[in-house]
Amino acid sequence: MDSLPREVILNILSRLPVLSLVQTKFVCRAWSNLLRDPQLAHMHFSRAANSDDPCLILHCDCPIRNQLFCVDISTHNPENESLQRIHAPSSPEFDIVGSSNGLLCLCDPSGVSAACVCNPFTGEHTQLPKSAFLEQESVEAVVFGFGYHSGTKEYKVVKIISYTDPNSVVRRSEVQIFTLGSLTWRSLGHVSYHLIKTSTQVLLNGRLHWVSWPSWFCRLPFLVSFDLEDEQFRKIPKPYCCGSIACGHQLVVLGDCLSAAAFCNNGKCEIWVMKEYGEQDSWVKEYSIGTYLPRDLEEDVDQYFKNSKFYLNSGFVRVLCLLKNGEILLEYECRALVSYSPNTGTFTDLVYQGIPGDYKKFPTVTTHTPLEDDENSIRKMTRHRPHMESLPREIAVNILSRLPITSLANVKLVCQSWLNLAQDPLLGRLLLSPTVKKNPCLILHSDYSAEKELFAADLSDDSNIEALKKNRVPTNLPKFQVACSCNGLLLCISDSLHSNRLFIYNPFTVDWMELPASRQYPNQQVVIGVGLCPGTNKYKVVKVVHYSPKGMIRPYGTNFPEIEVHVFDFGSFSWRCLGQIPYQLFHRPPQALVNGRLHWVSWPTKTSSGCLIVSFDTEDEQFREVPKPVCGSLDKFNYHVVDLGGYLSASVYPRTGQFEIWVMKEYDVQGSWIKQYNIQIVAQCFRNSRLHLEASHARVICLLKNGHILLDYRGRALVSFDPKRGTFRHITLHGLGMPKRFKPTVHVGALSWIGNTIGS
Amino acid sequence: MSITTENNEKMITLMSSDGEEFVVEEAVAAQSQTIKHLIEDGCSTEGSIPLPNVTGRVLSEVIQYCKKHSSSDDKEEKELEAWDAEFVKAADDHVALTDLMMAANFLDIKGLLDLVAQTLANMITGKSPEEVRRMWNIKNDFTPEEAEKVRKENQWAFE
Repeated sequence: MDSLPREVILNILSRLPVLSLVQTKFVCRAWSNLLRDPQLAHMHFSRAANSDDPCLILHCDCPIRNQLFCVDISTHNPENESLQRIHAPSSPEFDIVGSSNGLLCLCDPSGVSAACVCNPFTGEHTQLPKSAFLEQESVEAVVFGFGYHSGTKEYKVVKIISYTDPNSVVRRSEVQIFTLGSLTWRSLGHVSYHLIKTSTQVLLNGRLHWVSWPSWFCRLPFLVSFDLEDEQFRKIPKPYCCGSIACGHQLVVLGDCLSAAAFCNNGKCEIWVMKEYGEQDSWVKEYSIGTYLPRDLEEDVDQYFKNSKFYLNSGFVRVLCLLKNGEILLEYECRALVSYSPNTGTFTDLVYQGIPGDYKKFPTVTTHTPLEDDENSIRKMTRHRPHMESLPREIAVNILSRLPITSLANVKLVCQSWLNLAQDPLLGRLLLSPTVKKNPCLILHSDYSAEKELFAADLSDDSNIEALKKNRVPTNLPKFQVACSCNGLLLCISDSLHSNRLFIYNPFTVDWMELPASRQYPNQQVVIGVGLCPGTNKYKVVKVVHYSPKGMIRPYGTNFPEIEVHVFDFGSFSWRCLGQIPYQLFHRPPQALVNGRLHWVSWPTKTSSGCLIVSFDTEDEQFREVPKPVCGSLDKFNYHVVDLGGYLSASVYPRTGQFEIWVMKEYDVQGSWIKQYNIQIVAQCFRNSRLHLEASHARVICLLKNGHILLDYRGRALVSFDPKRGTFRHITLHGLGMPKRFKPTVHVGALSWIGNTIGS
Repeated sequence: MSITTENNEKMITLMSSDGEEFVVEEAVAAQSQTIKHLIEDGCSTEGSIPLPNVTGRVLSEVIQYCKKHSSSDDKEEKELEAWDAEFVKAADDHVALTDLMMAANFLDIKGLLDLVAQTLANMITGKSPEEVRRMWNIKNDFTPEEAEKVRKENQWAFE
């Protein structure tokens, strides 16, 4: 078959019944590709719609609820024809609204789950959004309709909600419509019709048809049509059948004509056909069908089935469709299918194999034109679905930038367009300078049980640990300490006694690099920092080396060290020496990066008695003293600087168990330092974690989104402090293998690398 | 058209894409920067302000939001937060939320945009790719080889 020209193969395949056609895709890859050919879909549809009998979708409710089966009635030997199970949506409860142009619309009569449109042969489906109408007690009935309009090439679902207006006691119907591919239901306002729910819809000439209940302004039922194109309701003339116009009707399309089956009191069924659409006079009584009892109905109805919705709602007989051979397909009590020959006046029971269990026949039957085109229609539809990609790029990226970094990696695996979004440079920028307050990500470094263990913790809004994940630290990265974090990158130092090596590491992309070696000194102690120079947007690493040729350095000692500054610039990719400074820096805690400057606290210098706050400007590479807060005799107290919500802050420890947090509201302005928090820390004892925390161990790490302050107790515990209530809460690290001791670093999770920022 | 009510509130009329008209106080509507600019440019003096990108259903929700946010002052922040949470919950699924998001973007209402964007982000957070696809009805258009390649390249840095 492979040697045949493509058109010939398509021609052959297009003649297959839909069920066989669907099977052929399992034959081989080439055939599977052929099935996706839109030409095949088109050929198959036009052939099937014009020459073949429709296939029937059977909706069975017992013994297993809501199964769909399909039977191809075009095969002439029904005894051998078996039913085939087809895809049913996973929705727990549904009714079939109708079938049009190869797609089925299903709805939940209770209105709990959303309606959906599916192709039962390919299993593709799309859920419709819920419509806005509130489920009120006054709602009496909801009638759905579904149809494809060949002119507009649109699928529409219409929903008519009848309710009694509690104010006026008048029955009203609200009409809502949904166009597949659009985003929401639209309201079309109110109509005064109250329509009879049909078990299959009647779609003809681009219009849906219903019979209305009698109403206060019209005592007799009448026919109503809804045009899918102009969305107008119109009345349709009704036949004068059975000599009475008050009898029950079932609308059906027979041979492209709107027809009404009228069930008369004598048990007979008359079928009237409107030969010319919309013409009252063209209604003709075409068929008169006598009484018949199919064999299957001789069996008693199973009790279970008796209570099923199909049986309860069904009439005795229902007209389904006209077959190609001129026979009429009838359904009896949802239990038996019968074909009636108008020429001979004979009935033939259609028996199919394969209906599950003992319960034999109780399908609700929907005629369904087999159509491989469905696949394409669905595809067309889903393209219009409210994807991320249908949102403007800035909005989609805005949404993604709010995700915790741990969820962002998953996003890339969703589909091509999301992968592209996740690689958007705009997202990289937004992650680093978020438009909304976001909790920082904490990097916990543990050397306690094993070397080089890094964990990343996402904090949730209520400052619990939302996700705590162990980092796959590259095995070739030497043992290190995390020195500080800037703009998504960690600066790590591998500590050996006489030399140090520096590394840049992004734990989220697992990229790392070693910086070139820099000059080493005897008895050296180094303080390192990293910042992003705002002007050039380049990272700079600064290394402050304290060394003394005379021996070990001790603060306050007589042996005041030489202090030399080296800067590493990623632009030139080399170290430069900036000469000596007179400040001896505390090497813990890490830098506070505010306003493009790195800040440390220095030991008292030769000229000052107290500790100083010293800044290094990444732009002009100058060291400057920054005004200190005036908090009593500050010089006596220990304090450290920290970035609290973008402000340079100093946490001061006047005595054990007391914190004062001073915040410099306006950068570099002495008078703007205010005492923002005063925290009394008593020794914390958390019974559930058997943790006893000394008050003197607490250190401020950062400010959380909800205004709480995160405290670290010497790497043993993280505690969030609520300044409003004055309460403390221990943040537990759940899970196996979680670190017992760790060094926390405040980090911004990002997928950036040096190259992305400096564009080298 | 601008009408003035008895308490001297200037009213303006907004018209949705499907022709529904909404009469709201100017202060309420002006929470939208887009509408505010239109008013400043004098577009509200004659007839109603047409909003061709917003359907009536979405617009009514947007107005509901603006009304709430213009009537409450800062003291009721807690209550407002709770109201916001209920508001997005009522929009129930991401389809309605994306509508709202588009409207907030077009009308330039920062608070609403933030609220909806965060809600959508929260819905994606912590979900596997399969779950995200189900939720957004996205077809997995990676071939297995591509998927493997992407997975390798983006191998999650964490265990």
